[in-house]
Amino acid sequence: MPPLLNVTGLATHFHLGTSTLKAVDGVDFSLNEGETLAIVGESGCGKSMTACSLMRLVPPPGNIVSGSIVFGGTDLLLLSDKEMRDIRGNSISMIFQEPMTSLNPVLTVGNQIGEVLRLHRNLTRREALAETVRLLGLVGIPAPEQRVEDYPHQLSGGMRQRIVIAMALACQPRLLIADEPTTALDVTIQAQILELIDRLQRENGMALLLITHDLGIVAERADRTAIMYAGKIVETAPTAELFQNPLHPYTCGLLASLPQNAVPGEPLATIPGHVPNLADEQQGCGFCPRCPAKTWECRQSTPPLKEASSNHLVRCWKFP
Amino acid sequence: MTAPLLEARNLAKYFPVASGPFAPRQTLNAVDGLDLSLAAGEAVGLAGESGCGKSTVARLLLGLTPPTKGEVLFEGGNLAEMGKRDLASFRRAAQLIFQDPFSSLNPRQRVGDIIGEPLVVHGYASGSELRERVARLMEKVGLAEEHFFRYPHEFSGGQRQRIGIARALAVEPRLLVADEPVSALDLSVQAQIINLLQELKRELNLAFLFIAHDLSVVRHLCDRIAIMYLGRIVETGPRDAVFERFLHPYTEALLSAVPHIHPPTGNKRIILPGDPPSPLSPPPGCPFHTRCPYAEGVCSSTTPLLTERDPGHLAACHFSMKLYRS
Repeated sequence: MPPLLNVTGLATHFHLGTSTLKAVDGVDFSLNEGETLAIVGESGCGKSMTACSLMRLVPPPGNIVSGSIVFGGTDLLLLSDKEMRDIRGNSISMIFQEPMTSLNPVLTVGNQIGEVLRLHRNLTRREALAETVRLLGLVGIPAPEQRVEDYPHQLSGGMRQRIVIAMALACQPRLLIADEPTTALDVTIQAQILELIDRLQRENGMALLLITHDLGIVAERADRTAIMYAGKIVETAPTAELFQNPLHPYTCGLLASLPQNAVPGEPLATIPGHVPNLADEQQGCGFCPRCPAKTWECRQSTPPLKEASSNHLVRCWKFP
Repeated sequence: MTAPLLEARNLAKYFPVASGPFAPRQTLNAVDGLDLSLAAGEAVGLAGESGCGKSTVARLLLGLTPPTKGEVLFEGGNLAEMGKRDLASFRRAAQLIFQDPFSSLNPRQRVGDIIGEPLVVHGYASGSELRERVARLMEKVGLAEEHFFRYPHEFSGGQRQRIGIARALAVEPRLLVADEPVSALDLSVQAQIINLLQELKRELNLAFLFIAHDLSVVRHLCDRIAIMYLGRIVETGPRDAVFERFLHPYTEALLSAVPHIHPPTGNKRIILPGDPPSPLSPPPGCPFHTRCPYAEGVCSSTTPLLTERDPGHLAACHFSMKLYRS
């Protein structure tokens, strides 16, 4: 069976006057029906822009310059704007990090979710209201009949994120993109929301693209994981395999630097330096300046993403 | 045991708030009856969810906000009763590191001036001596000498946090309060700053109060841990005791909610229902009873006191012993 989503050679660049910022620089991955893929990376590595590219929502001056995004057999990059609008929110939905900014502050919760239902499922106002109440109940909001009348500011952060999830699920999408869905929330609320997404995913059989910087969430929730650095995927493998047997020096460094992995009081392993500025022209491997195992070759040319063992791909010259 | 360096006794801070221009004034109990002490050279971690009063505690302990009730003692002296001279010496001895390395540095000052300012203000050094001391501080936190004349915007988040740390260390404090010092940093940079703080603590015998929501960071850095919920400390004790032999259901839930990179087997995740109650109208009795999976009748009527259950290990729960020691 072909995968639900197949992304090849995706590149999204921002033209900034004199320089070009390569936010997404040749990304390939695929996602099967019902599967969870996590894209992990630090701020500025291009993970959010990858998500926006999938929805064709790249903010100007950004542009998708090459690649293809095949979803359920059609290349999303070849669709007209109108055709894309039918897909967005209908078969692919997205939830964002900060629930307050993704809700309209002057519309009631019921109106906002109802709008999705009226536009995509052609429900009447009355039907939409009934369906909204059902959806709010589904995402665990107490007294949904009353909450539909509320404005976003009357709700707590966790409740707002539930509203956003209810809205994303209104049309039973086949793919849900969650961009840092719990970063703005406290751990106990985070546990509630992750549990909710997990349950809904099992019930609806949808695929989940989880974008996060929290390796703990990834270890517990994702089937497969892709590590991103400087606009490229540097390693991808089934999650358990990746955590047990990391290959890329960046992945190894990230895992070693976690306080969870260290003896309390002992110094943590660190990755020297900092994340590169993607607007600077770079030659060779993007991780080279911080890599403990760099060689002459790393400075000259970018390594390809190659299979090191079955299903375990890595972008490093150490693994030819 | 020697007298603590810093001690808070029954500390409380209430803020009056009005929800609208004609609405009746309400009281927000940000901190409510908090006892905490720090010995010289000790690192204490204060953990809890947003809105539980962690940052207010930091401001109270540094004398930046007067408490509504209770007192803060520094080396036995009450902050509220200190004269100008004593207060100035307290301000030298206790320094603060901020969460956001972007808004806590003046964008129009050069790095050398930022780090040197406390030295000038407190009359420690001037001229070439000032320059020399700043250079030594910069070296200590891992900044290069050529950074002296640069402006904050030329630095990355981690580098800026180093500048903030150098500034805090300039007046040779004995107590550092760090309010979420690494939560704004990227993962790979976070470890660098954690190591730096650890080194400084060891080298300078600093007392540290770490305020953080990330329990794995707190566990890594601190000797003793206090868990806060709704303005109160619900459990406090030595690091390993709190993490491995916790005595409060909130601690248990908080620990089980942390996503772990090696998911432990057999440990069941406790999902707390609902949101933390509003500090504007805290529930009667135990503040945690509305979300507690073990709550009984007594919990909604009587507030449990912070009681010593093991040596140095205190918890505020009616059923600590029944739940965790049988």
